[in-house]
Amino acid sequence: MQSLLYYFCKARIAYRGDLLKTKIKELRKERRMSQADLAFEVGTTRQTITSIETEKYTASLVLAYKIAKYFGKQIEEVFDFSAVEDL
Amino acid sequence: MENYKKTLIKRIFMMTMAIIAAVIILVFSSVILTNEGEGETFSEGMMAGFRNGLLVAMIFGFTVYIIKYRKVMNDDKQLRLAYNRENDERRQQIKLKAGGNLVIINAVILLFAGIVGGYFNVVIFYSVIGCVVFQLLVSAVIKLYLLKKY
Repeated sequence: MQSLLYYFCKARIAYRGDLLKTKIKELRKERRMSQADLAFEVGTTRQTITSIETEKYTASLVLAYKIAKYFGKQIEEVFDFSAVEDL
Repeated sequence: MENYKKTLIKRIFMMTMAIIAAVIILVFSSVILTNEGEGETFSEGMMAGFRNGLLVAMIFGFTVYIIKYRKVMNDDKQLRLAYNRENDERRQQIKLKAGGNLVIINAVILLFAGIVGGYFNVVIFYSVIGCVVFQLLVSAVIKLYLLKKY
């Protein structure tokens, strides 16, 4: 029973690990941009930017690339992959 | 953006055709079939009313969309916003999880089948329309839940 609980918790942690932490909010604040402005520039909606910032949704590779490119940074500088690397 | 503009023009054309077809059916059923509904049961009357109501709703809905698309096409910023909204990956993912376009296609086919089947037996009409309402309701609830979740 204990091992079942262990695997369940591990699976949940792994699932949460898919939701990446980002520095979008900080980068946006530096440039005094609103979420709507960033969304317009990278071709998405304000709600999606909100979800990515609050770690409810993980951006696809294409969107992550667009966001990183817009800020003039590498993807790993904008998105924190440490949770994925630990798996 | 030019491709998206062409897509919108195509959609406006298709919706205009659908509106014309709906108006023809409405005129045909209210002017030519003037005795429709006379001496019929409540269910049969309701079936004709449902069909006409659906057509009126379709005309109204498509007209709203045509006005919206025309407005968007004249403003480049609004066009870009509409394009972003339509191609937003999060929305597309949620739409797919809630059944995607399949639910809409299924509902349209079932509605058509229900109206036609209703002329043979009114129980078919009620059953199929009930299925459509339930299916759309489930899809809408899932969509709302996922919009909150993600």
